[in-house]
Amino acid sequence: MNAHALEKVGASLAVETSVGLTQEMVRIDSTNGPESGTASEVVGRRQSLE
Amino acid sequence: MGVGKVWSEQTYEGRLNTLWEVDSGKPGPSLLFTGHLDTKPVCEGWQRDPFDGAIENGRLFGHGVMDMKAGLGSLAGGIVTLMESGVDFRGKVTFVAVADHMGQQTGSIDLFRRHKFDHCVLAELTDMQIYIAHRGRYYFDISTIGRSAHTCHKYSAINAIEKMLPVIEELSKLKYFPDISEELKELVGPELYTAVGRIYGGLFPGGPSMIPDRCTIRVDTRPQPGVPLEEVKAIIVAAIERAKARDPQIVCEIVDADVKDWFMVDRNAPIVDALKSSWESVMGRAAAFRGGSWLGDTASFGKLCETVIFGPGGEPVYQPNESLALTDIEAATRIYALTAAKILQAS
Repeated sequence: MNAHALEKVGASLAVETSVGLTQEMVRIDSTNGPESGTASEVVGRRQSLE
Repeated sequence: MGVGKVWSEQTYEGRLNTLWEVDSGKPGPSLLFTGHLDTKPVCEGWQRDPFDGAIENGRLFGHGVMDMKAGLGSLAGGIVTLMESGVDFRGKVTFVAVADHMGQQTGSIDLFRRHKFDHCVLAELTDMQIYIAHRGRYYFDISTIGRSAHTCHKYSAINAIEKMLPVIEELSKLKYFPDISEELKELVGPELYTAVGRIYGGLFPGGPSMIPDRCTIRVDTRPQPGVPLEEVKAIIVAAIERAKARDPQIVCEIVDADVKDWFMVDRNAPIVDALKSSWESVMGRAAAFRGGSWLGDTASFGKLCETVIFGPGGEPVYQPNESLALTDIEAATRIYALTAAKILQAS
């Protein structure tokens, strides 16, 4: 890993995406089966970035 | 390149895998970032809404945050980081949140039936450690066969539950150490774990009085990588034979009920090296490799794609008021982004 890439990644770290998506997934019950709601949330969240 | 393509694929009975692909437009390797969407049930004892997703004192609270919604969130954040960093990369990275990990892993099985990947990072909770192996799981259903009768006619019955007792005793005594390498002993432990996990016998509660003619137990075994089904079955059968020697009336059936494969990747594999060097860059110290006794979806696809397992979150999991430090999510995001940059680097 070169230092340039490390620097670039560090400067663009998308922690808000990680934390925000985690929060939104946690808020949907996906207990052993109904993942569909959570899946839709992932899609919606991603599309909102477009 | 844009922001990539997002879509869902049905696995079965309406259950969905969700995919997000970011293609550099340049020929190169295909990297998979994956984890499961489903969780175990909420436990008793929560003192807050298990689905509030609140952040307090630098921790994110919620059911399933560790297994493994924070892992999925961090993988997605890692891809966004890669895209926004301007790092020149080739090939493509695909994020897939799969269904049915807690069941038969049909989400992952279906994913690999439809798609091929060169490298994979599975974001199972590893408490920020790097896992290169886990055990498999072989289930055996053992039934004792007796002769049913009304309790009033006990003299003519053979109680299948009573005949199961010596079998359980012999299985409980098992301590077996397969012939495996020192590396494996260090990674996943030397003893092959076995346990009687379920028992079924007699009629349902509230049913009529009857001495049962069938009792079934499920024996859960956790073999280390490389230990075949036949070897494990042989020690189970030997235990049954010892029970039969104690009671010649014991009649048994044994069924191979379910097989989930073990997983192990070469510690020198490119994806392992990429994640290890990224981890060391972020953590500032040398990394060590670990192995687990739990099952990842790598039980279904680990032999189809070079995979390393790494994620935020650790034991105890599925406990009341479960929470995860935001610093772990941040570190995981950084490590995932660097891993992708390294494995997909353009030059």
